[in-house]
Parts: sequence; structure tokens; C-alpha cells
Amino acid sequence: MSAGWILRNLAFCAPVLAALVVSGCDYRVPEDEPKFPREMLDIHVSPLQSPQAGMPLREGIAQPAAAAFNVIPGEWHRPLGDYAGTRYSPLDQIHFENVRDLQLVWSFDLGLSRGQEATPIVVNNTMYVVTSFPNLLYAFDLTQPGPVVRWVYDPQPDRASQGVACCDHVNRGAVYANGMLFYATLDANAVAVDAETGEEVWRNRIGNIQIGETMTMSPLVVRDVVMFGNSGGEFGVRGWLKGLDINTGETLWTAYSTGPDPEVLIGPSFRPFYRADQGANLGVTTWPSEQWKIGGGNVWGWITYDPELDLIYYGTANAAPWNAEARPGDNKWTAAVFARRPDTGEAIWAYQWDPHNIYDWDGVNESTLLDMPIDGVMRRVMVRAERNGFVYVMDRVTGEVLSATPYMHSSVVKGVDLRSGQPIKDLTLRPTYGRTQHGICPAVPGAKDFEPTSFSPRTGYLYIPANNLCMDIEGMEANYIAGTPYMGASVKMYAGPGGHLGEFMAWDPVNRRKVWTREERFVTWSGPMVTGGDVVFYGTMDRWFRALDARTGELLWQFQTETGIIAPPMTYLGPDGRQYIAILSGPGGWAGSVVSVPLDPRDQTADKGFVNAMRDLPEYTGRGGYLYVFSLPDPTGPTAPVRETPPQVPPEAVPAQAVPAGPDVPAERGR
Amino acid sequence: VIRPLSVAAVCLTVALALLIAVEAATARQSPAMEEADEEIGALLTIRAMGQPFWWDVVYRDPTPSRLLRTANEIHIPAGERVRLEIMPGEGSGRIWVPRGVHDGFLPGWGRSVTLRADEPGVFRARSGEFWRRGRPRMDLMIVVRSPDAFARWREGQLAPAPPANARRAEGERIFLATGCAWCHAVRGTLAMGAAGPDLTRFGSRLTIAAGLVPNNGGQLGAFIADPQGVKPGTLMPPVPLQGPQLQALIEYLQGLR
Repeated sequence: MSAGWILRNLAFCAPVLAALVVSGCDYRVPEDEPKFPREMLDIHVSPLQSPQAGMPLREGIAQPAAAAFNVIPGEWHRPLGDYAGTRYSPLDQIHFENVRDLQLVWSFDLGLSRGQEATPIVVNNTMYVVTSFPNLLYAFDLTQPGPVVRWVYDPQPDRASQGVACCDHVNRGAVYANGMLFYATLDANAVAVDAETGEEVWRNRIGNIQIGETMTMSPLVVRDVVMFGNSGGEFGVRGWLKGLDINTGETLWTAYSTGPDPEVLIGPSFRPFYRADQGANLGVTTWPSEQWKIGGGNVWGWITYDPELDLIYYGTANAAPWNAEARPGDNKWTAAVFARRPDTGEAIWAYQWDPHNIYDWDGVNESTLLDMPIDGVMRRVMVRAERNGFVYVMDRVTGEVLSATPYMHSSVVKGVDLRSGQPIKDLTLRPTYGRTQHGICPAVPGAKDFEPTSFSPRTGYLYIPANNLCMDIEGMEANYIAGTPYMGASVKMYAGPGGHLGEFMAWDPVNRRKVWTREERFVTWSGPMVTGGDVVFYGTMDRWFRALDARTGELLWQFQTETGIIAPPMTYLGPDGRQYIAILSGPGGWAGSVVSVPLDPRDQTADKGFVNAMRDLPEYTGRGGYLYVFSLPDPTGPTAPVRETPPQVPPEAVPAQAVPAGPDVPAERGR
Repeated sequence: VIRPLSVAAVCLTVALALLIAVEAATARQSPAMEEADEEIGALLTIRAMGQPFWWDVVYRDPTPSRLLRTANEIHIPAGERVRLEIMPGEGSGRIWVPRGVHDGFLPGWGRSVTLRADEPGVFRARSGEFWRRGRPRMDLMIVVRSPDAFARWREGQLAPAPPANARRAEGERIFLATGCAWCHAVRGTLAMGAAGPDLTRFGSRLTIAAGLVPNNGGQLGAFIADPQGVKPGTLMPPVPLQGPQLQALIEYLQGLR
């Protein structure tokens, strides 16, 4: 039988085959038309005026949501900088041409060995720094040279809380409002401290370490409410966000992530966009009986706020236990995004981006609030560099997913069905009881962990610190004992395609493409900060504090710190009118526990498998926490040189550059 | 030369290949929880997983919150076909299902069998493992009820455990504090352990220790005080308790109905 014979025969039955193919492909189109049109929403919005006056803008690029872009030039009041979550500062004394002259002004040894993840806060010529456990709050007087400590506040957290913290004893920093600093302690106390005197104004124990509940997140203040969420997804702790009175510390509302609608604060105003998120008591019915009580969905990431819509946005973490076989169902509202009213906590919409969470992808990453052109129309959006390796652009009024574009390699998620909002997952890669799945990407920390992105209105780019991690994962028996780990998975992580563990990239959210990217040896666990001088700053775990050109990604300056960096930098104006840059070093967190605890690098599954990927880290950094402050030796002037035309960026992603440490790079040596 | 037979043969082969390919492609896309939904929808399906040395029982349901977890005992409606899936967990997945409920036995594991009983009654499915030291007996009790009684039973079992009254509160405290809760679950309390049988409705069960002894206060006390004495090889550790404490615990467990 020749090929020709087969072909001839085939020609005769072509119609039959065509019919078969058509009928075979005729799978149901999901009927996921939005049930609630925009008019029915309880939110009234005016057409967007674009863009706002006074900003050095170019046409056709994304802009921060105007009302949420409450940057205070010269100060830094919350880790994300503004309500929109841009981590942008308009300061431009230090710019892309003179940043090469940046010098260390002073540094301070925190005397602690665990990971430092906090962003320094600067108000009124005072810098405030929250340390890892024991969560000391330092106030530095910036009017005097060098590190001058005005006072130290010690919340004296319960030492036992260290034993139930999943991922090192970190803290993501304080937030300033109304003359007070608010932050969370590891033993689940919310505290308010007088910014002037360092006296405790109030404290409220809002979590219970006996069941594994801890707090590491940085709160958010809106008007008279300060919001805190809990950690503990690896201990089967039920997630919540609480709103506290900023003057008394009294709990005003508690919005659980799982359970019956009244406890999730889902009421008559709740209008989720997608059908899968509509229905009564989904926080109960999508779980096996009572499992929602120990189901996770913790709130330990970032909250952003749109004053115009009066909505806060935040994500919920992974479902507990990791072993998904123990909890059939969608497991709402874990791995979901909520829009709520800050005064009452009432839910306005929710979207579960990862139903039936399998790989511990926590949905706590920040929602950056932008206004940007989509199909020629300015839209109110929020941008999320999600754990599954996709950048989600969502309508922040309705919760509709407008686009989802991969920014990192994902072997599991093939795309997102925009009609139903459901991710298209390769179900053959599910780990099952006693069976190991190999080559799962992204790994459990996701393509991006908590480290917040940064956005520049000058370039229109989102700067994403990413992880290039894959893993082998095996499902195991999970047994709940209150206050002990409740996991049910054995994990081993390793570098993804290319062999590097991290990346730092500029992402164009309008054209949905990677503009440039830079490979990093280790996971990029430090969120960037971008300035009006077109410089983007970030740190690496192998002890480099880098400054890149915000447009081209070119390395302009780097400084070798004493220890690796997992904290985001910030910038401020000193009392002398000069611009300063500050950052904490101190490796640790989940990624750096091989150094900070330290764990045995030979143990491949230690710290949920992260140690295998980071086993070389002890060769690059030791333990210890330090505060660094940088400035220019001789400020050239108040304004940045004007760039004639922005450098043309090729449409394709610029190939990753090698990690340079050569003599041509102007590098300041460590002490 | 075109022969009708060869046309048919090629058509069939290609059509089959296409069907298989399309089937595989669409199956891969189906959402996680829809697996075998059709089968589940058709028959009441019970999964019994062999743990050392007890049966973990789950009544399947398309709504996750209506999944019913119990242990060592299944209840089925008379006159209806019921699918029983037998799986090995950490323990054996071999069992003999008696005549009257099912005709025959299940060699091996990972099988499913259709049960059907015409009249209410109680049956005992014997473990297919040889019964010896270190591998104790684990029987699965099968209770056939009238369809109405079965429906009532199922709804009752789904509800969380009744709150302990003042008299049983001490027993509950002991249950949660002495380590029982580390392995056993009582839905409605902090006890969410999954290493041992779910005890949410323990008081309503016929037997203790997977069909070994009848469920009454005396047998229960003996088992808690000395598990190895009653069931050599069981993984349950002895719980050292004073007499009054043991009595309170027994009272609490018997009240879980």
C-alpha cells in the first residue's frame, strides 16, 4: 500500500471526516455572559479624563489611577508609596545620568539575623524602620548626620510566635497616618505608635498563635480604618481581613475569606462578574464539610485603594492544605481577588483566579491601579502580575478580566478563558496522593511572590521582579492538628528554563509585552522602586543593590551590600533638600531561610522545597540585617536633563543580558 | 483502483484515530472537578479507602459540601443500585462483599462493585487480607435501610456534631486536649484530624475498631484504655486516663449520634 493509495482513499471519505471533526470539536461554549451589566453596579463612575494635567506624559501609555496616585514628593508614608501601588517617586535629583556617582551616606546594623522585608518610612525628617522578629520600630533623626536613633519601640511579641511562622520571621513594614505608625507583630498584634514620642497608642491582639495564626503584612489606612490580614495558610488558618479604628484599635469589621456569606461580608451589594463566582454561600458549598474552617485564603499581601470608587483591592492566599485531593471543590474564596468598601468591609465584587488551588499559588500579589487605553478607550484597570505567570489586566469597577498575558514560563496554565474567567490548566500535571509530578512551572512561590512591582508614569512600564522556578511536587497525607503544619505535599524546587532563578523585567501593560528583561542568579525577592529621574532601583539576594535605566534596563550603578537583599527600596528628600535612597539588606524569608535559619543546603525538600533551589546562597551571603542610605556627593541640581526623544524600544523583548560584574561597571565596594 | 472495502477500512481507521485525538484533547481541557461527573450523577457512589486498619468512607456528591465522610460502616438504600469503590490507602484495599449485598468477591484493589440489597438488614464485608498479628482485622459494616430512612440518615450524618451539653462538655474537653483530636475529626469542633476514623457520628455506629467489637460503653472503655489488647497491631496509642476522665470521654463519644 503506497501513500498515494491511502490519499486516494482518504479523498473519498473527506466529507465524512470533516463532519466528524466538526462534531468532535463542538464542545459547549460556556454560557458565562456577565449577569450584572455595568449599569446595575452600585458604583457610579464618570468618564475618564485622560490624562491628568501636570504630568510629563506621553500619549497612549498607562497612567496611575489619578485619585489613588497620592504620592507625597520627598516623603514615603506606606511601603507601596501611594494608594495605587506604583512605588513611584517623582524625585529626580538622582537620575539616569548621575546615578553612577551614588554613594553610601550611612548605614546601620540592626543586629538581627533573620530576613528584612520592610520598606523604610519617612515622615517629617524621621525615618521609621520595622525589623524582623522581635519587630522593633526604629525612629532615625534625619536632621543629624549619620544614623541617630531618636527612639526604639519594642512591642515585645510572644517568642512562641516564631515557631508557627511559616516562612522566616519577616515583617513588611509600617504605614504612617494621623501622626501614628501602624504595623503588625509576628504574634498577631496590631499596634499603633505615636510617631513623635514612640509611645504605644494602642494594641489589639487580633489573631491567635495557638492555632498558627501570625501576621507579617503591612496594613493600609483609609480615613479612620486601618486594615490588617493574617498569615498561616500552612497551618490551616482561616484567612481574614479586619478593619480597626485607627484611634482606638477596636475591630470594626472582619471579612473572612471562607465560610458563609455573612462572615465573608457578602451582602446585597455583591456583584461578581463571572458566573463561577455567583451563588449563595460559595465559601461553604465549594468545600467538603467544615473544611472551610481550616481552609486558608489568608491575607498577607498588599492592599490598594481607589478613593474615586471608594474600593480597596486585595488578594487571598492559597487553600489549605496544599494537597488539593483533601479538599474537592473550587474552595472559595482562596486564590481570589476582592473589592470591598473600606468603612464596612462589605464585598462589592470578587474573582477567583485559581479555583481549586493545587500548587500553593497565593493570590496576595498587589493590584496596581492604572488608567490605560484599551482598544482606544481609557479604562479603569488594575494590573496583577499573578503567581501563575500571567499578567492580569482587570476592570477594577466590575472585576472583568480584560486580558491575561504570560510574563514567565508556565507549564501548567495554558491561558485564561476571558468569557468564563477560568484558567485553562493542564490537569494531567496534578500531583496526586503518593505520585510525584515533575517539571511544574511556576513552582509554589509562583512567577512572582509578595515582592511588589513598581510602575512609572513616565515610561508606562510595570517593573516586575520575577521568579524562574520549577518544581517536582508529590501529594501526601495531610492531617490537621491545630497549631501545627498542615501541608500534605513534598516539594523540590529548581531553576526554570535558562538555569537562572530570577528575572527583573519591564512590562508594557498596554501592548502586553516584555520590553526588556535581566536575568538574576537568585530569585528577585526585592520589590523595585522607580523615580522621576528614570532610574529603577532593586536589590538581589547575592548582595547587589542595583540601579537600572528605567527605559532600557541598562545597568547604571550597583553597590555590594553586606548581606543579600529581599526588601524594597524607597527615596526621600532630606532636610538639606537632597534626595536620598534607602534600603534594608538581610536575607531570609521563604527564599533565604537556607541562610537566615540556617537550614542544611543538602536537604532538598527543606522549607517546602525552596532550599534545593537556593542551596548555593550561603556562598554569596551571610546573615545579618543592615539599613543603607545613599546620596549623590554633589547634587547637580533639582531637575533631570530632558531627554529629546525616548529611546526607541524594539517590539520584541530585548534578550536577557548576562549578569555583569566586570570592571566597566561602576561599582562601589562594600565596607 | 478504488475498492469500497479499502475506502471503508481507511475511513474507519482515520475516523477512529481522530475521535481518540479529539477525545483526548477535550478531556484534557475539562475542569478539574468534573471528572467522572456523569457516572457519579447516575449512581450513589461510596468510596471506601483501606487505611491501617480501618475503612475511610466518603459518599460522593457533586456539591463538595455534601461530601459525607464517615468510617467503617456504610449505609445504603434498599432496592437501589449503589456503586462501591474500593481503594487502597496506606492500608489494604482487599475486601469480600457478602452474598445478599453483592454476589462475589473483589480480587485485588482499585475496583468498583455495584451493590444491591432488596430488604433492610445488616451485612459484614470481610477484609480480604489474612488476619494476623501486625495486620489486624478490618471489616466494613453494610447497613441496608429503606430509602426514606437512608435519606434521613444521610442528612443527619452531614450535619456537624451536636454541641456538647454541660454533662458531656468535660468529655469534649478531654477529647480535644489529650490527643484524640490529633488523629480523629469531630465536625463542628476543632478536632479535624484525618489519620484515624472520623468520629462525628460515632455514637450511632454498630461496632468499634472496624467491626471488631460491638459499640457499647464497656467495649469502648476497654479499647481506649488498651487498644493493643483489643486489636493487636492497631495504630491507635493507649490514652492514659483516670477512671472519671475515661467515663466522661466515653459519655461524650457515645453522645455523638
